[in-house]
Amino acid sequence: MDNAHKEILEKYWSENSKPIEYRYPDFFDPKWTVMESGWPCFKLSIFDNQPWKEMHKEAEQLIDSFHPHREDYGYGWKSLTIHGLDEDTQSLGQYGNDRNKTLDELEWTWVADKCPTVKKFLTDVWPAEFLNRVRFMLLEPGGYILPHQDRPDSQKRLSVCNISLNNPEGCEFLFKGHGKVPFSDQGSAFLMDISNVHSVWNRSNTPRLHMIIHYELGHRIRDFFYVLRSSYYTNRGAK
Amino acid sequence: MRDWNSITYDRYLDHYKLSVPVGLGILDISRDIDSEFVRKRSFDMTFWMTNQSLKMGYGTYRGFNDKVEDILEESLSKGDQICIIQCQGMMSLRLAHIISTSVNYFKNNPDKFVIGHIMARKGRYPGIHRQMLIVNLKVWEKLGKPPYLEQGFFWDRKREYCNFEVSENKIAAEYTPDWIGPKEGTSKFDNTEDGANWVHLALSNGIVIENLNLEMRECKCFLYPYEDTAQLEKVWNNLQQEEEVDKLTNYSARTWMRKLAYQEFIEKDRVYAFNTERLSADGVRSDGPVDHLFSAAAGFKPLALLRNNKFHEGTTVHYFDWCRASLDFKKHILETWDGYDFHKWLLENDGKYNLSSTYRGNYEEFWRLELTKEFGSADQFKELWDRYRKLEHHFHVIDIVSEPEKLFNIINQTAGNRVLWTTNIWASMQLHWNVEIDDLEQKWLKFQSLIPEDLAIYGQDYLARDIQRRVRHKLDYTHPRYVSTNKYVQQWG
Repeated sequence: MDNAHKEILEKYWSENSKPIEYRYPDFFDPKWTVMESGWPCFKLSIFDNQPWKEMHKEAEQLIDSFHPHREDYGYGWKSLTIHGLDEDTQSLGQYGNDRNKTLDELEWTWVADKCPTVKKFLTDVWPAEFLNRVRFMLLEPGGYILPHQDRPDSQKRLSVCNISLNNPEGCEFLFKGHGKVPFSDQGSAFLMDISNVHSVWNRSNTPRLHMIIHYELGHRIRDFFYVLRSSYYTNRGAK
Repeated sequence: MRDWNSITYDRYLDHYKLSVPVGLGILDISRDIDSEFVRKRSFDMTFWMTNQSLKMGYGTYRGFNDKVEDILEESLSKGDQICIIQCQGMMSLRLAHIISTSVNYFKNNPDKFVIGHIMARKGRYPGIHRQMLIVNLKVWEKLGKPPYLEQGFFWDRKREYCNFEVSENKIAAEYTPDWIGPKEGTSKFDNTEDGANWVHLALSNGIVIENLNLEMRECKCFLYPYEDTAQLEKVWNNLQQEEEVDKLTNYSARTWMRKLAYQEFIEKDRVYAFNTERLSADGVRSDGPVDHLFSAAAGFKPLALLRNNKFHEGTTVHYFDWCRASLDFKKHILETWDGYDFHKWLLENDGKYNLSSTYRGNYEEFWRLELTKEFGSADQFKELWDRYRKLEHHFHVIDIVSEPEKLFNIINQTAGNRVLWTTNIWASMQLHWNVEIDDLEQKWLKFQSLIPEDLAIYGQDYLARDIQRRVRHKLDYTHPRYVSTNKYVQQWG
């Protein structure tokens, strides 16, 4: 590992390795939860019993097909696109100015055909009308993603969904100033506010496989709110 | 919501037949209601409201579904021309009036698509509130059977919809215009209301959409069961806790609960001087003459039953009611009224009673109605009354829903031609509000099992259907069970 990177990561970990604190209002308010809570992530507990292990197997069998990702600030970080322009789809903003044209061209890739459980989750369970880019993200043993933020502070809100298909002990995702995302090795889904600085470091001997969903709610706002509300009360404890 | 008079309104409504078939569906919004109790009870009560129309032949039930288009498809496939979809939680006490108004509306406006609560809030493309959708199925089919899309939020894929104009006149609020119509061109919107795609499609085809008029609005009250759900659950069976009822933040729900609370409060000593049902429509059911009549203590229907089935000097009349006041009232009339000018007797004696659906200004009108529509003339009534008064009358405080054995013990001690009239006790709204319909069905089945073979029966079962027909023809009507069709609710509750 690059010494400078190691120094950054160790300092970041010493400062941010703590549980994230939540304070829940008595009643669920979707707008507050997504836009105003300031929470760096929110567990979609309603999905706790999804067949994550099946999905992990489907992703794992394709591990040799993954493409290196953001090598400028990551190491051992790879991706494979399930829904996008092709199996190695980058940020949609990188495909020219005509965003609508890019959106129109989004499709299931061959990866989806190899991963029926994943595809079924995305079509039947995931509460959004449109899928944008959906990818498996691999972080190899010893791999890391240096602290960065994907959106400016002005776009502070819970947005993309990050799902751990596994999360081996020793692999951690930390939000600066907030703490460690409690991903489960058995599978777990979180909405993330990626306007917060975050970093991941896999200090295990096992590849870590996650899935990241970018989406547009469209006409399924109420489905989304249902998922949020159910998860909110589960996360908070008894009503 | 207007307080319609059930004596002058409901009683004669089943005279009017619809000119076109109408389907009645209930929209499943369980996903948005965070309480299994409120989900189920709001569905059951909306079905109760719907059933008031079904029993009169006003429409056919087309099911409970979370997709508007599925209900419409079902309705269309069964030959309906109009389909009215209400959200679970809609308390449409006068749905029959909405149905007949809608039939007339589409008869006069065959090219119109839908009547509904137009929602035209600033910054969003307008839509039609899902609480009630009245759809002309022919036009829906002609427009390509569009699904009713829920409210939407778009940041990349903004909707490009037809420009619109709305009436200057507004109905309930600034965002509820009388009508919405097309304007040249299109614009892009990132927020769309429920049913915005229907509005866009209608306007694109030059169809103006009109709001429910005030009279239709007064026929119903929506509970908005997805708002303040915990409080709604809390007060549902505790209507007399005024402070809790007042905590309901939704005006419409609070109004309904206050109305019910008042009804419940006065029900304990409520007296029915006149019946809310017709007196002779059920015809003759006993071989007659009647030896023993067992009757709810309400209005003049017992007289009509005896007149129609014949009776003799030795006929006994047994009144039952869970409320002592009704029995006292009946006794009081029998002891003191001469059979002429009932309105005058009421004016002299009404201070002692809590009379239902009547006030001093309409006593005479109702009495005249009774004479002309049900008994022929004042003299004919007087003659009947004199014979009736002389019979042997017995009074029993019995709640036939909870303790039917008490009633049947009395009935079984008698022999000869026997007639029972239970009125609409089993189908009353108050009962259905307080007792879950599945429990009520069990109570009803117990009651039914106690009915002797030779008893002539008048009244309604728990689904407001004729008891005689049900029992003697062994018809096993049951109510629709609450089962959400929403995939999330099915999976996660």
